[in-house]
Amino acid sequence: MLLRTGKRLNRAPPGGGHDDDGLPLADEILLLIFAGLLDTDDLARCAATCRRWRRLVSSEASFICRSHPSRFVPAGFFHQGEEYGVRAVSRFVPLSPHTPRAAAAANALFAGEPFASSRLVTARKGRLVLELCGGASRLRLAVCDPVAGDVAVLPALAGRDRPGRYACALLAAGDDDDLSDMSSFRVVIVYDRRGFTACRTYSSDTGSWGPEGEVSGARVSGRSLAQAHAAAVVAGGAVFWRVRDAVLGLRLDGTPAEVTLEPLPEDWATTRRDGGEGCAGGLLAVWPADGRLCLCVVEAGMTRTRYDSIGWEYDVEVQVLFREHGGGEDDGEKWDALHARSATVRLQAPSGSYGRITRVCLRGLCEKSGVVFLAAGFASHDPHWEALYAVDLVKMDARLVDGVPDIGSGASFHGYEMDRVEYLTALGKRRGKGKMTIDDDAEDIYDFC
Amino acid sequence: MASAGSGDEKAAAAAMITLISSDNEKFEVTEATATLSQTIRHMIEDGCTDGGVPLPNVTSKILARVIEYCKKHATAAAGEEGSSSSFSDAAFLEVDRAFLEELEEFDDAFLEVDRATLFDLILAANYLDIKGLLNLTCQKVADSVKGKTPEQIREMYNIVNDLTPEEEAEIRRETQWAFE
Repeated sequence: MLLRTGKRLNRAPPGGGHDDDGLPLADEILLLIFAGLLDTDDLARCAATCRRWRRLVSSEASFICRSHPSRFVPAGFFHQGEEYGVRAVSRFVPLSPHTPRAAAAANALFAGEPFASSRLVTARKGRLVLELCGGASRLRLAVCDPVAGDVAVLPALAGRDRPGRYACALLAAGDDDDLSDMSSFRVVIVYDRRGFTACRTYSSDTGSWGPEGEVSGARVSGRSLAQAHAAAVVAGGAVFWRVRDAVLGLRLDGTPAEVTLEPLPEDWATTRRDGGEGCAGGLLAVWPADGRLCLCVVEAGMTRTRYDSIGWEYDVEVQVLFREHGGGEDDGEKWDALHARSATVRLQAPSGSYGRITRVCLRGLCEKSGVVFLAAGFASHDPHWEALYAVDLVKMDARLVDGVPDIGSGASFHGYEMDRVEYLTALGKRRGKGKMTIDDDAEDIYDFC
Repeated sequence: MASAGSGDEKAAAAAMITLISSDNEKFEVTEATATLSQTIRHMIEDGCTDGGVPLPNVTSKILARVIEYCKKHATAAAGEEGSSSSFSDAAFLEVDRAFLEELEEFDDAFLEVDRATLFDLILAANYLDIKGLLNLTCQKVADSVKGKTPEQIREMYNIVNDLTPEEEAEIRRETQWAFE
């Protein structure tokens, strides 16, 4: 890899400064070296080497990461279960039991009102969308970035503006051309009106919702929208949700906005209903190498088991179906069942597990980092208990996530990835307080809780 | 790809530059080789290279290696500009690929040096402002750090750990997954 050394930094000469590490290399050279380390874990270890390295990794994170293909690191997931039919408080579970900064920040946020009684709607690119309980007459969403501690409570959609059941997606920098500022985001909702399907967008730049628009293309029922799996993904300038046996797509560039509802190939769209099986029939994802939309499916039937010195191991089959352009001028994109990818993923059983795997399913994903969460149940355990694995889609290796509480079936589950630059910058700083943006008329958010 | 004429080659062959290392050894190189260094390029442009270019920060041992690198890559640069190309495009690309492979092998072999020499090469590349060599040598250090623990990195490069035990514990807590 070639590095571009466009940036010349005027820093302390070698041997100068108060954080001398005895290395005869100037700061700018060390930065070039750090920029050659594409792995965030390597950079984190460098930051733990000495003061000067910590200072450089933290203060020049955006320079160091500038040639990195992905801005995001998988950090964990958020989930919200139900207890006796009542929504529980959302929780953040880190990928390792030792990432307290993000975990503590998020869980502290959820501990207090108005978030404790909120519903976790979706998560993307380091931000969460929560539906605050605002009574039957209004929809009030909040967007928060738990690592930075920023919270924005959006203006309520009340009265005639209140949508019924909706599908929701969060868009941030890199999703389309209008979003160039890292701190900007948009929230898009698609919902059903009497006689048409409607779409509405909130922009953080204006701090307000845009007008309601009628979408062209397909008509989608409110029932389908409510079933849209909450994890929206963005590929090729469109947002996609999985709706039972089909994929709902919303193009972002057209006016009026255009919606498509494409059925999945028959043998990929299982007719099995969602009864607690997570994403039976597949999880939408984005292939990390080229940004193509894809559908991931995991099969339990192919499981083989083996015992070796470290314990039980199980093989499961993960298949990835891609949506490809047809090739011809008038061809749209199609699901290409002929060129699906298939890979065997080896699962290391959690301690105390033996016997066969009773079920596997995909729970959620970290869209930008190409990680999907796979849950597996074992014959030796409580039938409801599941072990959770983080599966890297490209490497097809699975890592057991330790310390996962019982996530239960039907829980709302969202992979969470952190902005790499933000993460590295935070290594050199003590945690500050985030920014709270609340719309003027929003005192009511506390009234209904 | 247009032919740039043969004048360049002649001019480059005619203009020789003398580089003088810190231990007073003289190296005669072509201008094409010398101008891979932005520092020397500016000196040539300013017309202050008569009587040789003293490089008080670079020893003869390191300067010899740097010149070896520059000679190889100056030829590569001349090839890329297509100044002496009479090939058809396809044939030219073929030659180009073979040449790039050879260049890569050269770079790999070039980096087979001990740590002290590697650091000296980095310092010289930085001082002489030779981007290709700087990137190459920095990447070599980066590769050597990959997958290492902080202790291993400190040991490898004799780095003094000036983090307090509390600071180190805190950063380890924050980045625990990196240490598994």
